[in-house]
Amino acid sequence: MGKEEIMNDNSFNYTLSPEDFMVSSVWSLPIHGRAALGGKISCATTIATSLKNTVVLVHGPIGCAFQRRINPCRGWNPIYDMTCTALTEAETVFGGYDKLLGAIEEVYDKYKPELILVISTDVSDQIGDYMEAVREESKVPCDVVVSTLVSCEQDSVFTKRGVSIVRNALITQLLETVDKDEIEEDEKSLNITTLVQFPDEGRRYRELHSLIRKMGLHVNGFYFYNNSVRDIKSMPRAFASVVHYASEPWTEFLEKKYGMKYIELYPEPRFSSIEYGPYGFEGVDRLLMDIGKVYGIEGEAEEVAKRSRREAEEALSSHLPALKGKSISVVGSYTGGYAADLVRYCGMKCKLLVLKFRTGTNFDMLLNEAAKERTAEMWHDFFLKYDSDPEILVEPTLEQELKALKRTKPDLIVPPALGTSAWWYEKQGFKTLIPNRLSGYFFRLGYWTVVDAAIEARRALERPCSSEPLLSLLDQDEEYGGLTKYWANNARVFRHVWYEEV
Amino acid sequence: MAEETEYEEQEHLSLDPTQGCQLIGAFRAFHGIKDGYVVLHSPPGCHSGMLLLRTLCDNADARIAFSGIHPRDFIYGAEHKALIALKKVDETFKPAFIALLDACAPAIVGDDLDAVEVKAREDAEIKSKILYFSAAGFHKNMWLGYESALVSLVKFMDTNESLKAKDSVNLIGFKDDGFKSVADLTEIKRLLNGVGVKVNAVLTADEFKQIVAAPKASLNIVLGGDGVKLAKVMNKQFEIPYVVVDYPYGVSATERFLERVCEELDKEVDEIFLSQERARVKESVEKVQFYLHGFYGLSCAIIGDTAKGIGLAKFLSSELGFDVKVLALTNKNFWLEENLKGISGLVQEVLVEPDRFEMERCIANAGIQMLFGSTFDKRLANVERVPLIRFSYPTIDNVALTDTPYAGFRSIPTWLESIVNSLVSRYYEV
Repeated sequence: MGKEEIMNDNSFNYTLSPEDFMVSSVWSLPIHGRAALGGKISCATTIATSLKNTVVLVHGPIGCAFQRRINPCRGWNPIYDMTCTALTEAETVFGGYDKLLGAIEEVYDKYKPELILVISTDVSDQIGDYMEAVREESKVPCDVVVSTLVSCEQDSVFTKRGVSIVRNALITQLLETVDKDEIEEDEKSLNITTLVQFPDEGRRYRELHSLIRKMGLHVNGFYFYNNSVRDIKSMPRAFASVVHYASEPWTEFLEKKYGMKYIELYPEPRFSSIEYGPYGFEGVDRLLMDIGKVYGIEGEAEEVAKRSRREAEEALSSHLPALKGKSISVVGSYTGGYAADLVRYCGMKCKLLVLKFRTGTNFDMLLNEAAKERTAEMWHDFFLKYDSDPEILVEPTLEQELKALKRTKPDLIVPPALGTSAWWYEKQGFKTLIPNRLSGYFFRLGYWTVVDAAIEARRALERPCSSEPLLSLLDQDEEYGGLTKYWANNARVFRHVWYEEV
Repeated sequence: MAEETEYEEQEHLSLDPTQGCQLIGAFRAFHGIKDGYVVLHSPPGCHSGMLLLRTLCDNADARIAFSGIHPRDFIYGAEHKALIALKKVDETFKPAFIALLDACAPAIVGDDLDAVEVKAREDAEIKSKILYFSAAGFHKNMWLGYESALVSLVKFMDTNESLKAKDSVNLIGFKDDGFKSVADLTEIKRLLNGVGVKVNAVLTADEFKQIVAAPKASLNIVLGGDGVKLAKVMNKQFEIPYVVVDYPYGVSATERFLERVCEELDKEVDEIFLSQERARVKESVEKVQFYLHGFYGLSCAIIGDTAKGIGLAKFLSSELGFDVKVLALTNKNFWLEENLKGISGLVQEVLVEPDRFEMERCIANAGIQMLFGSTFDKRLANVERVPLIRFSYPTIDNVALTDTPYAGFRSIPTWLESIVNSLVSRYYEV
């Protein structure tokens, strides 16, 4: 059974590309909050790679530009053009403003870009150059956007993360001089914001794009995905935007200046249940109805939601006999994702829930004890709702987990998206869904994510386990499953200096 | 040797750099101490960047931690965090040596890490040898940081070590994060062993005790000129002579390498060993002879550091008949001028520490059929539609697990495989 068998004109199954497995490789590195954490600047420069005819100018020493070519989310694919002001000791004393001004002119002369995106570093943030002034003072015939306070760590608050800071700078600065009456508004048009972490956002948003068209609307632009300056300046044409968090300053800016509405993907109160968010059939139903409400086309939205969901459910139904009633062990954190889909829509029953917070990202690491308890409660409530009452283990050692697995004997293990341990479960003889094959589940919006989760679960049940994975030659750390002792020690040192000794 | 003061860095308004900062250079030098650890006193960005540079080419060996500087520490300072990190690393990994390096942010704040070093030394619980090295990136570029970091190790060297080991050498300027570095070092040691020379210490790709015992060697071999500043200091302090040799790419350079070493040690070169090695090389050449006939005259560009880039240019030109159109040296070293004399007329254009934009334009205009460079040159190769043979730093999109060196006699089959396969296996429109 393969995806190809069930694909038809109405299907939106995700076709994996080799690059998706590179994404999985990079995310399996313990650098996203476990043994290291990329700074805001790495997230900020990622945005720049999604813009056409744009050159990044890092206002900092050469080391920042050199090493920031390598992005923690795209380690295999460097950012090739990365200019900098090559700040030296003299500028740390006397300031680097004049140098920045000159650099902007030089960069323009060389690259003739549409946009120069100036990004600060620790050094320029610390010496306090009034970087914003170059937007007025530089005499280059292209746009200049300045994004400051990009230095230091990724914040747990989205609006202070590098991706948000740069997006905010780009939108507010480029639209600063675009008045409302200059814009030809299109009342059927919608903007979609992306996270720009992964390659080919267009492919990931294929289904949502289609759903929006079926509702009689059209997408004004994806922000950001291959955008020109003109595309960004055209943002106000749309009547509304689908945004991650309405608290991002640019959302407020567009609302105030152009009266633009928004549909928030993650509204308050956040992560209040396992079914929270635009995932699963209900999540997508809600999203379409929210869009419909904003555009005053609730009827059309409901019709499209019903029809599209029915098509996905029909595709799903062919897999249900293989899944219904089968038992699973869910290994996860605070998000439900595809594990929740298998319970909600495929009739799978959870026998064991293993909550692991240390193997995820910095978001998981930052959860306090109360939040962890609340997460366990949310999962428990969720499972009870769908007729499961699993045993729950929180942060078990590998030995404890294995004992519980042997006791409960689930038909299938469902590890988390960032887990690196599918092979470990298979080695122990348990059929395991391979999260790499659901690459980008959380960054797709549509009904067919559920179908893909079912296909992968079915395939995992049908195929033989990889009984002798080479990875089993490596000793696993008891606390940090998926990491060797060596990397787990690195993670423990990191945890100590970063999360504990604050 | 030229003095450091003559190499004041060129002032740039804007630069797309081909090399990193002093911090990266120092990290590269200290990380080569195999039972050592590097602690960065920095925010997470510098740490994760360097961890990535290491980990993407070797998932098993990235000995780097940091002190966890948060934004508020930019104001109040965070010396105490550096001490906490040193203690934690010492307790967890029990390294023989820890290099504490500060990044730009704490250097601007003025954190007193000399005092932290003293405190750490006085702390009975910390067993590792501690060295604070001022590494803020705005001070210097990568190669100057590398040179100074190597010199900073002299203070640990055993000054009482008066008994010189006969026919024993130190290798200086060897970087353990270079592409195929493990295989290269194995081959270089095999070659030296083949002519009766023992490697005493590799700076840096060795244990700390070997670095301490470096003064035992009778000769310092400086590869391509990298680390010559250390060689000079050791010459002064321990009276160890040094010889600067080309990085041994190809047959001629390898033979010259062994001849120079033997000459300095006042030894006869083992001709039987050399002839056996030549015979093996011949076998490889014979197997691809017609390809080599065909590729003679191929135009190429090389992007690499001074030590390896110049060595490769000589090999490609003199042994394969390639026409080296552009040699872009991503960073200098103190032996640059001497090195450049050796390639006079051999390379059409030499760029030294160029801006990447200008370098790419120059190479695009040169008209090449093959590019030798690093991961960062992938796009250029793609745009020019030519194969990219990775050999220089950083190579983070290829792994090197097999014992197939780029250095020494045994490098010939490796180079021939890489070069021939890169052209033969391409898809060409019919």
